[in-house]
Amino acid sequence: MSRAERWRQRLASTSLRHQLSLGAAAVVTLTILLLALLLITSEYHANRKAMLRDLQVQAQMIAANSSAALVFGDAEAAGEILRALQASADVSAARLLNSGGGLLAEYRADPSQAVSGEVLQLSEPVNYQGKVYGRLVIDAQLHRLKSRLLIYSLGALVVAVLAVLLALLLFAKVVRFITGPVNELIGLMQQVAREGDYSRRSGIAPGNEIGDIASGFDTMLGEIETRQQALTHELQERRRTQAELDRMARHDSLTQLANRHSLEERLESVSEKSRLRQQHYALLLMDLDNFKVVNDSLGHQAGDQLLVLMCCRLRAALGDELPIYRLGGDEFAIVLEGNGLDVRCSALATQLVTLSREVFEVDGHEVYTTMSIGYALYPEHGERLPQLLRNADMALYAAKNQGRDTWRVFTQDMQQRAERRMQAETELRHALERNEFFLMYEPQLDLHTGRLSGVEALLRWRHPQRGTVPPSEFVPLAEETGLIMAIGAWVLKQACTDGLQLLELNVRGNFRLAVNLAPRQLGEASLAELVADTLKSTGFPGNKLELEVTESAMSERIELVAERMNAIAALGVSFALDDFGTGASSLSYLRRLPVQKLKIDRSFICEIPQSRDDRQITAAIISIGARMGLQVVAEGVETAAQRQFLHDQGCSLVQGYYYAKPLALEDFLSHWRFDATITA
Amino acid sequence: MKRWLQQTLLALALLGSPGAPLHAAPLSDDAVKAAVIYKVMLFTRWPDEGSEAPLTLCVVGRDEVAAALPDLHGRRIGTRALHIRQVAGPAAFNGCSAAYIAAPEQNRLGSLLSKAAGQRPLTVVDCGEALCNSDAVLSLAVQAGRLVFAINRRQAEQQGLSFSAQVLRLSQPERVP
Repeated sequence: MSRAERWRQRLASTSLRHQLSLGAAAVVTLTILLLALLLITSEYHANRKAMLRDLQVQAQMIAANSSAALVFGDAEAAGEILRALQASADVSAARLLNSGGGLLAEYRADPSQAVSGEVLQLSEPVNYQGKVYGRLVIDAQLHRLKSRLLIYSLGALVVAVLAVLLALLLFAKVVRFITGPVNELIGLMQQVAREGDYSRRSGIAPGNEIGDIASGFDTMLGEIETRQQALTHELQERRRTQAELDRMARHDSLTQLANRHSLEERLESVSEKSRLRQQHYALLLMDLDNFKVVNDSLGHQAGDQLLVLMCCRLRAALGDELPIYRLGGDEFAIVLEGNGLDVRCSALATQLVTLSREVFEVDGHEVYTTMSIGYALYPEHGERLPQLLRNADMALYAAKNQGRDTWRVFTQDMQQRAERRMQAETELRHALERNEFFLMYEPQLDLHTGRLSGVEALLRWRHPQRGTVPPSEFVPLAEETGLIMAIGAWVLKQACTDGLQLLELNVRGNFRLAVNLAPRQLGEASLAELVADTLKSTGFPGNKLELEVTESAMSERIELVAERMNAIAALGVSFALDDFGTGASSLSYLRRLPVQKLKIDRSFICEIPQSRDDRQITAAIISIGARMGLQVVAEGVETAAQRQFLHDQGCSLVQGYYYAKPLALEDFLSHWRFDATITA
Repeated sequence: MKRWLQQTLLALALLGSPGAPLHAAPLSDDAVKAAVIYKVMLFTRWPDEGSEAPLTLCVVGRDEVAAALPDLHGRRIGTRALHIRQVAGPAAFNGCSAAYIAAPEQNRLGSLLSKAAGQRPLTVVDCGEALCNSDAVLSLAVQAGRLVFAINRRQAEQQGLSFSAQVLRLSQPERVP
């Protein structure tokens, strides 16, 4: 980089004020110096000219006066004339020369004034009446002129310096006038950039270029501010929305309780904290026992209302320190931290169970509900969160399973039970796939004629290890897991298929093939469709099919069940009410359902004739059936005494070991082919 | 009125002026005197100024100076030529612009002048060793080896002659009687 370029760069990086000042200083100094130089030069020339003119006049005068002296060659007189030049300080010497060039007279100024420097020589001819008689030569010294010029120059220089200083002073004011607003603007820009405060304005009025820049800047700031405000507003809106979304993501909209997501977060942090500090905590899971009933019978709104009321009650009891989480549906959770968790958890669970029993008023109805609670403790019941959750859930399941309206703490055998159950479930699935189920048939007989009036299909499981398993050991699990649907469908189809052969047993008109329906099957909307499809695919006549439903399956959602049963009844299918008398439901629904038959549960029959109660109940059921025009079937008849009692009471149909054991299809067919009647 | 009778004497160190144009070679006193007469005539304003006619220097009598004067014949005074003429008597002053009165005739200068009719000439006398009181307008002398001359300004005024101030400065101061 050249020197000049470095200077240019340095200049470019200096402030505007300094640039302007420097430029002005350069221009002013140059101008004034040039002016001074011009003045001095012109002064020099003017002075020199004036001096020359004076000298010429003097020379002419001297010459005019010295012609006679020359003519006469009078050196004395000539010298006297020349001495007149004494008055002229600039003249250092003068000579009168005759026409031949000879010196007539000479004059020298004060010899103390040493002749030095430039000498101006002036030569004037001396003539008289047109004739030249000689020459006057004058030597003039310029040093006086020069010293005068020097003084003049010094004066000019002083004035010039003063002028430059004054100009710079004035210019500094002008520059400040210009750069003041510019610096103000720069300061404002920096401040705005630093603080981000777009509400500031320069306040410099427009007028000149700087004012225009300032007002442009102000306008720009205004626009930025407007946008900033809009942006801020939008950001706030977004944050609010985000917060709302967050809240929604963490809270249940119905009860305003924290939700499952919140619980997961809480559990993660609590388990991390507990792991690090070796502290304990408990996870309680709660579930309303009969929420589904309320929901189905009173509607979802009532169900929601019940949940809200329950939440209010729980929160009021627990306070804010112990938050409740709603996991969905009627499931809730509580996390308890600290010491003495065993005692505290059981106390809390007892309190909550008790609390939930109190009556709620929902939509003008009095609703009673209970709650089941299960809990697990960290770290005893699971060091890892998923395990703890599973175990708490298992405890809850145990509470549900063991009668509801109670609480259970997790125990290791729950785990084992669960494992067994899971294994059973797997086996059940395999059973269906591997065709391990089979049907046995139990005959129903007319007590009066002793003839075969129907047959009940009974499900059995041929377990590879355990042998034949009775339904009581696997149906509840199948119900629970939902496998009952597939099993039920299989049973229906198999029974209908077998039923075609049973129909060939030369029996009279009112023969019925009875197939049991699981309560859960009645809950399915597709049941009617299943029945219709099965009848169609097997070709079994609908009016020969009888579906047995239990009383407990009826108790819930009576309207819905009635609707479905009616749809099936339209296919010609008839219904029998199984286990009649064991449930707690009213008799009124019997009128609303398409039921043609009542079955007296074997538990009433087996104590006959010893138990007076059972005798009375059985008699009452038979009486009810007779009065309502329903057939009555007594199950589990094993003795002649029982047969006699039933006969005496007017029971029309019986089944049981007293008559025949359940048989496989082939055995049944071969047994009953030629002997459709037995002695009743 | 002796105050006004001025006799101007001029001392000239002619010998000490090597560059004098008129003296190319060492001259005799008489030749120098003749030259001085010519030079004074140069600085004289004549009554008939403006005339182009030649100026005539008349010579009365005979001496050494008179003998040197004819050398001046033909010289020019300004634009006018100089003629030298020897005259016998006062009557012959007619037409003389100047007249040199030789030493023998100086005594009768007064009568000569009084007899002169019309314009009087510029009269010149040679006083010899010292300047003398004379009615002549121009007197010459050699004093202490130096040639001096004097101009009688009163006489000159009376005759309508005037001189350049320069030449008056060269002349000897008027001798006050």
